Parts: sequence; C-alpha cells; structure tokens
Amino acid sequence: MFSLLPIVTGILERGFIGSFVVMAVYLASRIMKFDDFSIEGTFGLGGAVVAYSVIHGQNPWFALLLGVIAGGLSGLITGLLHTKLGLNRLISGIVVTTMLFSLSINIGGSNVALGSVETIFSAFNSYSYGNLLLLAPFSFLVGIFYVWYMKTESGFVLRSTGINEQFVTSLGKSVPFYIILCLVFANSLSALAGGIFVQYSGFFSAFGNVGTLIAALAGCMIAELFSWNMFMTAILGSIIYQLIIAITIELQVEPSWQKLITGLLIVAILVVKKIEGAKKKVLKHA
Amino acid sequence: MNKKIVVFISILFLALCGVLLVKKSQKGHDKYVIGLIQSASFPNLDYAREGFIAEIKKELGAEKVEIIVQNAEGSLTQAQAIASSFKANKNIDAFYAIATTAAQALKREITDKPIVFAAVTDPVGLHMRDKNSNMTGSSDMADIPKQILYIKELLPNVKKVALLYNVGEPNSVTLVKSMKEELTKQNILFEDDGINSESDVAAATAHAVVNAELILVPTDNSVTSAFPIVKQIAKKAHIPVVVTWTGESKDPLMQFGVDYKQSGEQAAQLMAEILVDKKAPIEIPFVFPTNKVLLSASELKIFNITIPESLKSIVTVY
Repeated sequence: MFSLLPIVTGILERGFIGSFVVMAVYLASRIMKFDDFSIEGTFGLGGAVVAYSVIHGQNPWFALLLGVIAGGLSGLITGLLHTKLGLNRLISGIVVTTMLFSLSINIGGSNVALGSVETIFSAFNSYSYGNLLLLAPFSFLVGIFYVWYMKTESGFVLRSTGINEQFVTSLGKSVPFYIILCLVFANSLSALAGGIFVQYSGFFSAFGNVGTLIAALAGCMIAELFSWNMFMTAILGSIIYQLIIAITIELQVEPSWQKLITGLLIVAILVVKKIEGAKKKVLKHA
Repeated sequence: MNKKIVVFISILFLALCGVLLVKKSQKGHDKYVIGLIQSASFPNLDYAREGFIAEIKKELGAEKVEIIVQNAEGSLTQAQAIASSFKANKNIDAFYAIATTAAQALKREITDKPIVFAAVTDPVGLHMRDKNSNMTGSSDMADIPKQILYIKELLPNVKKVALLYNVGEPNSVTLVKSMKEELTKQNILFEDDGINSESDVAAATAHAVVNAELILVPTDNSVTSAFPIVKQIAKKAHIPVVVTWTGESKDPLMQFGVDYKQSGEQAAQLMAEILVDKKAPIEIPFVFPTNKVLLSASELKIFNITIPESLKSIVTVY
C-alpha cells in the first residue's frame, strides 16, 4: 500500500486544528489591524484548562467550552491593557502571553498525559477517519459562523473599526468595545485550537504553544493568496502550511533549518504578492 | 473554482508524492530501519542520540542499520508531524524517541511497532507502560535519596539549599519534588529558584547565591544550556554547585546521576533485544542508567573539603 494516505490524513488533521488559529490571526491582525501576540499564550492556556478539566472527569466538550471561555477572558485582558491603560498593542499581547505561561503551568502542569480518559475523539475512534469526521465539519462550522457574523450589523462595525475608527465613532459606537470584542473572538479561537490539540495529541506540555503564532501567520498569508472569503481560505491556508511542513520532513531537511524555512516561506509569499500587485497595476494602465 | 488554488495545491501535492516515491525506491533490503525523533536540541539529548547511534551500529552491524534522524526543535506540532510521517513510512521497523514530548507524540501515532525511549523521567506516570504498551526504554530518573545523602555527608554544614530549575520541564519538576521530600527528611531547608527560560537563569542564580549555601540543579535542559553563567556567578559568591547530570565540563563541585550517552547506549541494547530477539517491548522492563558520582578536585580544594571515609569508595575524583 502506498504510504501517502496516513501522511495526508495527518496533514488534514493538523491543518483543521491549526485553521482556528489562522482565523484568530486573521481576525486580530487583518480585520482589527491589531497584531495580537497573546494568541500564542491562549493556545497554551486553552490546552491547560482542557487537560486539567478532562483529567478531573469533566465532559470533554464542556472542558473545551471552559478552555474557550478562559481564552476569551485573556483576550479581554489584552484588550483592556491596550484600550484602558494605553499600552502598546504588541506589548499588551506579550505581557498577557508571559502571564499566561505561569497560569498554564499551574493549571496544566509542566507536562501531563491524558491517559485513557474520554476525549471528543473517543466517540469517533471506531471510524477509520474518525478524527477528520469530527474536525472537518467543526472547522467549517466555525468558519461559516464568522462568515455569517461579519454580515451582521455588529460584524460590520467590527470590520469598520479596523479600517476607520473615526467612522465608527461617528456612528455612535464605542471603538474600544469593538477592539476588545475582536480580541475576545480571536483568543477564544486560539484557546479552542489549543484545547482540541491537547485532546488530539493526548498530552499537554507547557511549551506546546511555542511557534503557534508564526505557523498561523504563515497559514494566514498563504490563505490571502486566494480570493475567497478569508474564513474559508483560512482552513485551506492552514492545511497547505502543514503540507509544506510535511514535505520538509519527508525531504529530511536538517531539522535545525526548519524555522528558517518557515520564515523564508513568508518572505516568498510577500514577493509573490508584490509581483501580482505590480502586474495588476500594469494591466490597469494598459 | 479558483484556478490558482488548484494549480498551487496540485504542485505541492505532486512534490510530496515525488519525494515519497523517491524515498520508497531507496529502500535497502535486509536492513533495519529505525526512525529517530528528538524533542529539541539540548546537550544531554544530543548525547543520548550519539550514544544510541554508536551503540546500535555496534549491536546490529553498521551496514545493517539505517537511521532516519528527525528533530522537532521544541515544537509539538512539528513532533506530531514527524510522528505521522514515521507512521506512513512502512519501511521503519522500530522507533527511538529522545525526551518526553517526542515519546508522547510517537505514542499517539504508533501503536503497532516498538518504540524505545531515552531521557524520559517518569514513563509510568505518563502512561507509557500501560497494559499492552509498545514502549520501553531508559528513564533518566536519578537516585535522588542517595544524592541528598551524599551531599549531607560531604557538606554537613549546609543548612539551606537553592533548587535551580525550569518550572516548565517535566523531568525537573519530578526530580525537584523528590529532592524536596529528601531534603525535608534530612532537615535541610530549601528554596525554589524557578525559571521560565534560559534568559532567567542569571537572575535566579544571583538570587540563589544570596539566600542559600548550596545550589542544587536537577536534570534540567535549560539550566544545562546556560550552565556557564551559573558556574560563574556561584564562583564569585563562593557557593558550591551540585548538578544532576554528568559530563559537565564547567566543573561543578559534584556531578551526580545519569550519563546520557550511556542512557542512549542502553536504549540501543533494548532496541537490539526487540529487533533481533523479537521480544515484545512490554516484556522488557525499562531501565535506569547507573548513577555516577563525580567530584571536582579543584572545587574540593576551593571549598576546603576532605572526602569522608564513607564516600571514598563511591565517588570518582577528577
């Protein structure tokens, strides 16, 4: 049997889980123009809360909900630090991520195995592609929810806040409220991904969130190459990123170079975009 | 449908297929193929890798082993991706995982082939030895009660010990817990000097030398990496340092514990038992490397310590 299938399954599984973080980065960095570093911290926090809850006998779905709430609260704090205390956007995220490390480690421990407790995947174990059966609809549903939300009035104002704050103020809406709302969305998504990842991999590690943000950023930039709705292409971008990582692993690239490759990938995408942009300009003038 | 997307994905997908096909054709017959995954690049883990590779080549014959080396460089997603690549590679006969997260990532993906681990401190607590487990290996759990006893005999006047470790490393947390129990038994006070990353090591050490008479470091990857700075600060403050690993060139007073090279070699021997003698991993108990006690001659002189009779046969002075 050709050994492609398990690799592809793995790519899709990790891609779907990662898609939530890509959506989070898109919400924060692109829609709100708020480069939120705390997304990396809430991935770990979500995992810690979920690990703690399922080990202590909670229903895995309820545990996931708790993780999402914890993530949302952290987003709230990042937002408050920026809007109320006037802390620089990047710094607020870094401060929150730093604090979350301590929280995660005290909630989840430095490393804990779930053992044989029930997870959201348990019910699907009997099917051969059980994990995908759960993850694919889940990530599409979340994507569709945000597509729908962005069309509502609240979603419209939220998008406007990132583009033109004065316009939002002139509508009589509160700018800080929408910034915070966006960060709450973004961080609960990241915590959701963290919580799912812990149940997927079967253990929580305090350093498990390292590198989440850069991977999601790469996924987000790949997604932006396609001209669809971003929340749908976010899923695609995340999967393509995992595909590229899988190729570097199969090529047995010296592992210490892999982070450089991620960085170069982002640069390459920027170059492609620049060239495409130049082409369009030429076409317009012609 | 967006044409660009189709083209883009197809190219990447074909690249993946291409690589897999090329690799498939490379397979040598009557060879043992071993998938090696390392959690991150730390000196001790590198020793465990080198020890394993050298020993397995000796056990099975250098020309009969092919080792696929992968390193997750600290990223869990990466570890998970490597594990699923390993799972897909039908040529691999067995796996070698260095350190806890690598072993955990493999544990989830690989259920039908043997996994041998090294540098995992608490395999039982992490469900690696459950019924029907396909895992065995060498634990890097040091014999802490003995270590504390030796410290007490060597430095009877020490009243307070500073524990310097990364609170995020599972191996350190396990060892520190047992260190605290033993120190309490011996009526020695202790304080936690926990760090979160290598960049905190200097500050924590500076705090430790003011508040304690001895610095005790468990098997900790972050402190190992930043050990030169620990040694430098401790030397200035005239405070002895005891570490729970061996092979440190920066001269702590006492090096106690696991030789990671040996731990890798033991893992290779277990691997040979599994591959050649066809034993099931669960039938092979996991092993502890022997604990060595090394004392530095120059440090003994600096602190004016004479080795008590009771320890003379146990320790090696270098």
